Order: sequence, then structure tokens, then C-alpha cells
Amino acid sequence: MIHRGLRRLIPIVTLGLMTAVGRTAYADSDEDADEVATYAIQRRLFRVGLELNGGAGILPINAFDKGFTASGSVTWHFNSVLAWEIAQGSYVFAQLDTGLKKQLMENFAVQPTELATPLFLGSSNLVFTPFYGKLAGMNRSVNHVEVFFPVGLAMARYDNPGQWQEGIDLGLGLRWFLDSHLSARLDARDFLLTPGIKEFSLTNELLFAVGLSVAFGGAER
Amino acid sequence: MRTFPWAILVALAWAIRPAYARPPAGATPPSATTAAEIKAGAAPAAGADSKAAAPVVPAPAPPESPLVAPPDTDQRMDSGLEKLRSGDFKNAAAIFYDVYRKLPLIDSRRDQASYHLAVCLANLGLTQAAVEHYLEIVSGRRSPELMDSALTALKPMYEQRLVGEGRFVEGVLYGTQFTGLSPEVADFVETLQGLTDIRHRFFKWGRARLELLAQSNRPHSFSARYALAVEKIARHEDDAAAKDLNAIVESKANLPFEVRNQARLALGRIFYEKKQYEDAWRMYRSIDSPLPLQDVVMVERAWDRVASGEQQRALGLLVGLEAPVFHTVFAPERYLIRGIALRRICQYRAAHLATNAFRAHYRDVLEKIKNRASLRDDPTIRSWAVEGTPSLRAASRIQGILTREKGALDVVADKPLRAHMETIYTSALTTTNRAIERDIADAVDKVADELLRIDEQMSLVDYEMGAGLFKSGEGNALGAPKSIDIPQGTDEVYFKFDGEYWSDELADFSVLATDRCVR
Repeated sequence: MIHRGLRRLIPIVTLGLMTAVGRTAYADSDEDADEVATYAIQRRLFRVGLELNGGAGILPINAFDKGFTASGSVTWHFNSVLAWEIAQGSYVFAQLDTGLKKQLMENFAVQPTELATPLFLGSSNLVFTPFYGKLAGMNRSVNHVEVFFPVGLAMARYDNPGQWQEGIDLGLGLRWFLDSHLSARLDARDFLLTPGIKEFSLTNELLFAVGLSVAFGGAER
Repeated sequence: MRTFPWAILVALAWAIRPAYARPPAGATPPSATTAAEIKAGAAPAAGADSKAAAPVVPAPAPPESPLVAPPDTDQRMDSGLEKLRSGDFKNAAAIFYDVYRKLPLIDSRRDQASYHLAVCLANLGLTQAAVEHYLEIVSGRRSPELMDSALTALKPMYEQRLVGEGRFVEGVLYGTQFTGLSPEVADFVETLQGLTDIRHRFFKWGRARLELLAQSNRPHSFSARYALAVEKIARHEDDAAAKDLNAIVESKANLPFEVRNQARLALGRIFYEKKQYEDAWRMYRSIDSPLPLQDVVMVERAWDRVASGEQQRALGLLVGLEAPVFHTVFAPERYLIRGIALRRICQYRAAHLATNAFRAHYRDVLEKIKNRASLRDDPTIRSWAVEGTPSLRAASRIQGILTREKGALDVVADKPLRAHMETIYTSALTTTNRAIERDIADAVDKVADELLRIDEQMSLVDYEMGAGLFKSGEGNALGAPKSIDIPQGTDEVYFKFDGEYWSDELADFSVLATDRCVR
């Protein structure tokens, strides 16, 4: 349970970061000017200063209970590449029993002694946004999207036993710009948490969330 | 290096389009043959250009002219209207044509049938046949009560360039006085008549009409204001023209976007001529015409950037001009701009390659021109000539529509109506072809002149590069090549061009060529 989600997410994030750091274009001395790199240089249609995000998510990784969350975040974008997600929180408002406990009980007459379930996940992250692009929608529209990678410190409140755990989180997100103030976000976050050094154990929580963001400020057009 | 007398001419040409190759005032254009005349096998109207090369297709034998209206005319008309209202355009058209052809010319119901027939034809996608019937009503002047309806129907078709300029404006509108028209149609007619006055050099009359129109705040008032401003440019009153044009550009009124864009273009040209390159750039950038109509704007923007010293942007605009949407554009100037821009950043070898590229691209045509070979039949030159001449471009567009609609006549099942349609389309195509043939020679000559002019300028660029290299004392670049610094995190996003054109990027390219000049 702990490492499965991590194994999936880390390569994606790493690959994304590596791909983003491309070569700088150089004008070769032997190159002719008409062969020198040509760029379409455009002002961004959508720029974000302060961002408020709200949405819903799911914690799918726990085999016994699937948690449903109400999520939100406050982010300050320093520029189009770097931002600080000042606070991100996901409150688990419902748990869906998968029936595994019952199956274990009925088939094997066993039941887990302690089933820690998350009640709240929170984090504060640096957000790196190396990808920004356009998608042609059925050859009729142009849609602007960006892909971002949050990395930061995280904490979570668990029930049964009731305790706080701390750790880190990292993720992958997609933002779909709806207009200059509104965007839809799809987030995947992996939380690596531990109750403490003395009683070290690693808990992995995967959070998928969809949300709507409202942007204020930035360099308005 | 660049002069702009032609810019004023082009602007004026738009305002009083198409100024070229019109028959003399008072002469009836060859296309003025009405459907009734076609039916009657009339000879082409007097005034047809003697240079017309295409043979006139003989009109079919005239049907016997009915002297008396059939007794069931009203019932047939009602039946046609019933079908028209229910959306059965095919059968309604057949009925209206039957009524139309069986009525004597003097019967007012004939024009009514013609009008309803035109409505049906337009709904069936046979726009050119519909135009012929509307024009017949307007030019016949037998039914004053239908005049406004017919002109109301023709107005959007004219604005969508579905009606031949000469046929409609010169042949029908200009020589006619209309009364009882609705305000918008009256403005429309008045604007066209005023412009045609000016085109025929009746400046006083035309100006008076347009000035009166310009005083109001209706959509056509802005067309009139624009035309008056262009006329001021022609009189070298640039400051007054700029003021008027700026008022159009800044107006919050709901004026036709084409007028606003033409005003922006004209204002941009004035700024350019005054060497206010940033103002010109701002004006050019604000033009939001459909992309295929922006070729001239792109070239002028590139000139503007060359003049302002932003050679990389100028080179980028030329990359944009290579997009498929501009593939038919005749713009040899782009090679000249490239050569000049590269020379100004001391990229001498690349500038020389631009000269070579120009000569490689136009070698065959230049040889033909220099050998004085006939150019009229060369399809490439013809297409450039057509694209570069507004009147020919319009005629070519109408020719394409006529050909397409003629091929779709299967939609008409009724035999007599089908024969009528065949006659209209054959005749209209002949007239259009003849108009194109009449004007093509001059247009081809202009293409040849333009190519020779650019060729000469390219030689000059090559010479200046040689001089530049000589002064520098070495064959290589002067400045050390530098890494191109692409900023991160700014409000600008850099999309590296990989050969795939996105329509929203065409005017945003920059070629990041290093400036190798020692400053």
C-alpha cells in the first residue's frame, strides 16, 4: 500500500521535470540567420497572481476505505513558472467501506487490528510549472493548458489511532484555463507520511482531486 | 527604401473599389444584360469592351412573348406562396418561374413572381440566379413596391461579395434614383452612388453626398467618413485624414468591422509615412480581419519593423507569411524585406541567400519577362495577377461561385426552370470570364513590373552587402555569435517553431538571428 502509488508517480514527475529542462537555443556561428531558431513569442493570455482553489477529491489507495475529500488551496504565483502553494488542505468528509474487512472476516475469520484512516491532509508546496501550451479542440477551438509539479511539506490527521503524521508530498497537476480568471485543475498528489522518527513507518496516501480555481491579480491584460 | 504612393492608391482603391478597368461613365457594362434580355436573346449591352476576347454564348431562342396573362395566374401565385411559406422551395420555384415566364412584361405580377423566385433560388443555394432576378427587378423599375425588398435582399449578398461590383453598382445602382427605401438600404445605395461619383471623378457631387451621409451615426455613415478620409489622403491632407480615421478607429459605435480595419490600415500607413513606427505598429496590430485578408498587413508590418530596427520581428513576420493560408499570395517583396533585415544585422551571407532564393523562386518568370514572352497564358502569373488585383479577385470569386452553382443545378427538377437556370449561369459565366480576360493583361503587366522592381532592388541589396563586407575587411561575421537568451518566468511564452503553423501565431514569430554588427 505504501509504495505502490509512489512508484507510479515519481517516474512521471521525474520524467516531466527532465523533459522541461530543455537545451538553450544557440545561434551557431556557421548557421545562417534564416536557419536560426524561430519562435512564436506571445504574451500569455492567462496569468495568475493569487489563486484560490476549491474542489473535491478521492483517496483511492487504502484497500479498506476510500475517502472522499473536500479540497482547497491558496497559492501565490511569483511568475509563470514558480509559485508557492501557501496552504493546501483536504478534509475527508466521507469514507466508503470497500467490504474487504467483511470479506476477511467471513472468508478467513480475521480482521485487522488497527485501520488508520486519514481525516485531513494538508501541505505547503513550491509549484514548478514548466509546461504551458495550446490544444486544438476538434480543429475548432484553442484551449490553453499548463502542467505543474508541486513539491513540499505535508501533514495529516489520522483516526484509529488518532494521531498526526508529517512528511512530504509531491504531485502532478493539469490546469485548463477557462478564462483569464477561471481555470479547472486536475491534481494528483502523493503524500509520504510518518508518525515520527522514533516509531518510524511510512504511510503513502494518493490524492486525486478536481477543482476550480479563481485567479486574482497577476499582470492583467 | 520604401515609398508609399501605392499605399494611398490601394486605400483609395478599396474605398472606391474597384476603380480599375471600369467601362467609361455612362456606358453599360457588358454584364448588364438582364435575365429578361437573356431570355429574349438580346445582344450584349452596348459599351462592352472591344478588347473582350471570350466569345459570347448565343442566347437561346426567345420564347414567344405572351400578350395576355393566363387566367389562373393569381391562383398559381397563391399556390407558390403557400409552398414558399412551408419551405418547399423547389416546387415553389417551379411554380413562380412558370408564372413569371407566362406573364407579359408589363404585368406587375411578373416582378412579384421574379422576386419570390429569387427568394426560392437563394434558399436553394443558387445565389447567382437569385442575384440575377433581384437585379432584374431593380433595373426594370416596373415595381416600385418591390424595389426596397429587392435591394434589402441584395445588400447582404453584396457585402458577402456574392454580387459583381460592376454589374450591380455601375450597371444598376449608379444611374438610378430611388425613392421610398428603408433608411439602411437608402444609406447603402447613397454610399455606393457617392463612391461611384468620386470614381468617375465627379468629386464635388460625390463628396457632397458622402458628407451628408457622414453627419449621421448610422453604419454606412462610417463608410462615408472613411471614404472622405481616404480622399483627403489623396489630396495630401494627411493630418486631417488621420484625425478622421482615428475618430473611426476609436468610435464605440457598432460600425462594420471591415470599415474599422480599413481605417486602422490607412492610419497605420499615415503613421509609417510620418516615421512614427511604433504608432503604426500599434495600429497594424489592432487589425483583426480574417486571416486570409491579412497578407498585405503582414507585409506592411514587416516593413514597419525593418524601419523601426526590430529586424528579428520583421524576419519573423516573413516566416508567418509562408503559412499555407497565404500560399496564393503574390508577395515577392518578402524576399526584399528579408534581404534588407538580414543586411541590417550584418548577416551578409544569409542576406545574399535571400537574394538567391528570390532569383531561384522567380527565375523562370523573370526569364520570360526579360525575353518578352507572353505572360498572359502562364497559369502561375495569371493566378498572381488575379490575387493581386481586387477587381479580378472579386471576379474570380464570382466565377468560382458560378461554376460551383452551375454544377449543382441538379437540385432543380423542373425542366423549364432548369433550362432557365442553365441560360443564366452560362451567360453569367461568359460575362465574368470576359471581364477577367479584359482586365488580366494589365494585371499581368503589373505583376511583371513588380517582379522587375524587386529584382532590381535585390541587386541593390546584394551590392550593398558587398560594400558592407568590403568595409568590414573580412568575409565572415563581424560580431561574435552569442547564445540566445530565452527568458523564463516572464509573461511571454516562447513556442519554438517546428514547421507547424498555428493561426494565432502567424504575426508573432521572431527569428532569433544574432545581430553581428559592431555598433
